[in-house]
Amino acid sequence: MIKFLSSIQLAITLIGAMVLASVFATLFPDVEIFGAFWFRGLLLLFCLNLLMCTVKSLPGILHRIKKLPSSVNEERAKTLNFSGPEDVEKLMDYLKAKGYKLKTSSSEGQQNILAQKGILNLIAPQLLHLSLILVLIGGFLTSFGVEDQVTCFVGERADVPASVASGMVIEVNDFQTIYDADGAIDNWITNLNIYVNDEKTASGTTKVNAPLKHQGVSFYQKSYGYYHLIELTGVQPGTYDVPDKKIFSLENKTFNIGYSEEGAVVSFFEGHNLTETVVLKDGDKIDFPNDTVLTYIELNPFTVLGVKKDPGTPVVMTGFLLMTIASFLFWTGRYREVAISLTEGKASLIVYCKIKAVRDEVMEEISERMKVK
Amino acid sequence: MDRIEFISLLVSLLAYLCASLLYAAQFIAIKTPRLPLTLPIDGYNQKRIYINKYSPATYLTLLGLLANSFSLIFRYTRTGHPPLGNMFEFLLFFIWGIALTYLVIEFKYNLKQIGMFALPLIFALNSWLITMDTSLNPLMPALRSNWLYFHVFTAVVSYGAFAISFVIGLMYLIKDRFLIRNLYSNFVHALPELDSLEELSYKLILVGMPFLTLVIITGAIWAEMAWGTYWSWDPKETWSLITWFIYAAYLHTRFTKNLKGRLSIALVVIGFLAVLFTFAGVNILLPGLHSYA
Repeated sequence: MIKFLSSIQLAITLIGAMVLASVFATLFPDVEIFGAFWFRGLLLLFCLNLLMCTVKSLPGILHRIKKLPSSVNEERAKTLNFSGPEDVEKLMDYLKAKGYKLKTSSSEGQQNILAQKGILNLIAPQLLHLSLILVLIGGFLTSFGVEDQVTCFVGERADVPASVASGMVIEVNDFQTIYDADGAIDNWITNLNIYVNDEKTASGTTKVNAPLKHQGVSFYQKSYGYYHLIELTGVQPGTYDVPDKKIFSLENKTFNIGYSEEGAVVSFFEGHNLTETVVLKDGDKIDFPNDTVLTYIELNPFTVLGVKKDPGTPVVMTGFLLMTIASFLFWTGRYREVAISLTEGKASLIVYCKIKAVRDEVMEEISERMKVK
Repeated sequence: MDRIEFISLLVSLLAYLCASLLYAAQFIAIKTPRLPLTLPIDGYNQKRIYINKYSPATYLTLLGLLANSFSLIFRYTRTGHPPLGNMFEFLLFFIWGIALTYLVIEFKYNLKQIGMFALPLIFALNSWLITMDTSLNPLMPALRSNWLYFHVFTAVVSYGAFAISFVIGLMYLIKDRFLIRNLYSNFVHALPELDSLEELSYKLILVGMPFLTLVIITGAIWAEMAWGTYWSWDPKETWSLITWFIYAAYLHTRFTKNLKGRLSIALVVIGFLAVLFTFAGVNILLPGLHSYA
């Protein structure tokens, strides 16, 4: 069972299955795949496969890392002649220059050298596996997270949904649309205070690409909107808070009020055709028939913030960091080791590397360098 | 389209077209019978004997790359932000990345035979580019992030490496097909040895893979900052993960089982087809969060 769970065959089968499922899911978005029980089962199995594979290879890797120089089995070794201590010195200098870490020992007139290179490459796959496991665990924890949104007018307070944080209230001080030098929208920014159990615990701003975080809750700029406070005199007197760009009819005139940087734009229509626009500042008036007067009082902006509490995100981000490191560790050369036993003018040499071409190359380089036959 | 931009794109298009033809002519002109029939794995340098290092085709590719660089800088000066805001701009950057990767490989290994396969790909992508909407649009707020630069830069590096590994993979499959059928010809002999192609393709994927990992990671972190969710199974995200899985399977089998040959190279080819689908197919066929780029 352990052999099966840690096998490369299982890994490739699972990767193949996840690829096929993902292709299908993108081509048929109406079919629920990623939330399906069997897909989660695949992810769990993948996680187990990575874990078992890593656990299985760890002893071997630790053995290589901790390995000490010992007498080389002459039957499996290549035998080289050497003239004396100066050759040993040359050999060790050469291996050091090539980036090998040397360990030496001597016993009974025999000197043993163990030269190792590429330890980082040896641990790269295991580190990558661990990082993937962390990301998958983080994803699992995220499923226990909660996400909601809160809408709040400028100058007012609103409760953060209790499912996200109980007793937390936000107070919006300001909401602005920021424009760049060319007049294009650069960002939307909300300035707010945060209260927990009626005590102000934080204040700050949130905008797209820069969420505000407080006590494990993240606040994201999700949406926004405007209402316009107007006063009417005449047939329907009163004060009204009207939504942005909602069409009204007053004294046979059809119009809406929209937000613009210059002020509130009142647009008049005949049928679907725009006939006139008027820009109003606070306190400006428009006369309608039958002594009806519309007075623009003020703009009433509101902001919509996404609120989220997710225990999985930090785990996923840690996984990402490890994954980045592990990915680039593959660039370090493949692990190789050279074991040498020196005795009475004779050197027995074994080169270990998974790739035969590298083994041959190292053996040839050492023989050539030492100019021994 | 702006006149200067059009001229610049036209120059790159013509340069890549002429380079494609010249690489093909150069390839045909190789006196293959005099070449050694076997080439060691690390024997790229041996080809240098037979092909001039600096050929007109190389200079034309360099000209195309310079014209692409000019287009990128020109757009940057007009928009005030790096040209990474829409599909035209990213494709321009993508082509730039492939051309640069190809030239690096050519200078390093002097395997100009790759040019005969790589340049038509670059030319085809450039032809598509010239038909695209080139209008200058301001970046939407979510795109105004430093993560955009990391995200797209890493994508360009990885896609460039994968593109060249793809053409090398095609060369491998073509040569392999001819050899299976015992069809020996100048064409087959002029192609580098299978082992050399396999090794070079592997090295390119080894370069591209960490950057693809970074593409996905930077995208996820950015999505977390902008939308509050690091992963939403958006089609582009999903397809970049599919691409990652394909190359991971390739590296895994090669690393642990030392799997080489046709099957392994098939994964390289499929991997790049997934890259193309992630880049273009998703935008055209599967709308989602990335529908702007």
